[in-house]
Amino acid sequence: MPKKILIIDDENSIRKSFVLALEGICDVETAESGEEGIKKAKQKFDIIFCDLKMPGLNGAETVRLIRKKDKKTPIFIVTAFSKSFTDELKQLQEDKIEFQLMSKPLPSEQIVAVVEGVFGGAEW
Amino acid sequence: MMQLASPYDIKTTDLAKLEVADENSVFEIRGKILKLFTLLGYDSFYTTYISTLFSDICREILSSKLSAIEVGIQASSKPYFLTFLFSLRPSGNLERRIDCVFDEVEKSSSINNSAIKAILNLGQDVLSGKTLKEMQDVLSFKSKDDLYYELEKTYTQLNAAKKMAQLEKMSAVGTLSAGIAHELNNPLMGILNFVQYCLKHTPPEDKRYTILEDAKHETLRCADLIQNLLSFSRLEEDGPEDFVIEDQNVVPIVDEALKLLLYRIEKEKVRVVCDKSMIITASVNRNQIKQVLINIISNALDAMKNSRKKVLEIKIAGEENMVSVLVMDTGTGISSDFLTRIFDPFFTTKPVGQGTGLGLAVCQNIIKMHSGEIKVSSEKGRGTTFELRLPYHPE
Repeated sequence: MPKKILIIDDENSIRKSFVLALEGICDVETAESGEEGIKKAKQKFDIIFCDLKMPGLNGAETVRLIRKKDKKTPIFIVTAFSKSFTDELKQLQEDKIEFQLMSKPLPSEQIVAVVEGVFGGAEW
Repeated sequence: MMQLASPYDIKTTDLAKLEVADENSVFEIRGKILKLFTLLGYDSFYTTYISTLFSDICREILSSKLSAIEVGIQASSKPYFLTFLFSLRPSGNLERRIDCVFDEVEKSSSINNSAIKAILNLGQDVLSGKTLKEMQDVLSFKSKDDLYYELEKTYTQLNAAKKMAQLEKMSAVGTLSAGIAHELNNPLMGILNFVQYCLKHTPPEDKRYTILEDAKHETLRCADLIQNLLSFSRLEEDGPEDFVIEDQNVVPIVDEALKLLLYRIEKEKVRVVCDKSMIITASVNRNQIKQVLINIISNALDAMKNSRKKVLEIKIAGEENMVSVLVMDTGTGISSDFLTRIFDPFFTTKPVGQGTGLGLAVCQNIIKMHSGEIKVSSEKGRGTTFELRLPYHPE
């Protein structure tokens, strides 16, 4: 069974970046908003990448809601570290909600390295 | 070489006598110049003040670490004195007269009345019109103390106004750059990955391959610029709560910065002089100070690229409640016109594509957050010295 990952980002260029970088490595599902992401996350994914700054539910809120049901799937929040969200990210950490941070812009080799690392059993 | 003037000799001149002189007499004009020179003394405050009055050339005098009076009387520094006088009143035929004066000064065995007289004689020629008016405004105070007080007040006001303007500019740039950087990040990540995808699916022998490589390279350059902008604006936005300062030895931080640049240092055959055996404690944020040092050192390396003598000297010294880190290079130096602007965001003298003009602005912000100071002095063709002054507040 091929591995599956979910990209939640309101920007087409980001979603497409992941799709292209991971072509031939795994199946990539995309969601254009936090709300759509939460619906899709009901299926089983091996990794979830989530943007932070989105209209509607932001990344922190989205991750919080996904984590209510899914404690296991590695989640990466991809962000350019906007000051306006640092408090929310800190709150997530304090609430022991597990996630990793990745800094934009991500080149393809980094996307591939992270995904293959997780698939290879690396601890995140 | 003639004997160096002692400022005390000049200070003994009877100022009171000059004040009783006839308002319109040439004698008084001479007296006022003398008074001004006397005030300059060896005190950097007054030389600084006078330099704000008398334009950029004076700044060169300051940066050469000589007070104007020293320069004026020391015959070996004749060119400096000439430029100084010319900055007061540019007039071609002064030079011959000044030469005569210097001859006269040289003849005298030590600093004495004849040296003073020489300077005084110049006054008449040097001062006229607007410059005289400016001098009179400055000097029309009753007593020396009044004058000191006024000078100090003006100087403080000038400095405060300058700082205020700088702060406003920085905060505007910070807000603007943060907005732009965030907006650019997403499309940039798209472009980068699209190019990388095309590269992956283009055989290296295809003539488009190298063009795609170029496109990738340029995109990464943009990404770099954005990172710079973001770290710049992040410093603007972040309050002290995100900013951890610890008492620690500064020497290993310098060492780490040097290690990170070792490749360049070796490749460019730069000799590094730095005593790493000491333990000197300052209250700093390790990563940020490292960032500042890397920035300053790589600027130094850039400046020495075409120098024959390539020496990078770093001196770390502990003072009471302060640590001073001097980074000295033997590079091209920075002209005095640029010295005052090098900390401005986006100011760069490097060729397009080689500097964003943000490095030193970030450095200055970091040091500002430490309540420290960053200073620069430079001599064109000889090299540049950056001084970081970092606080040490033992708990």
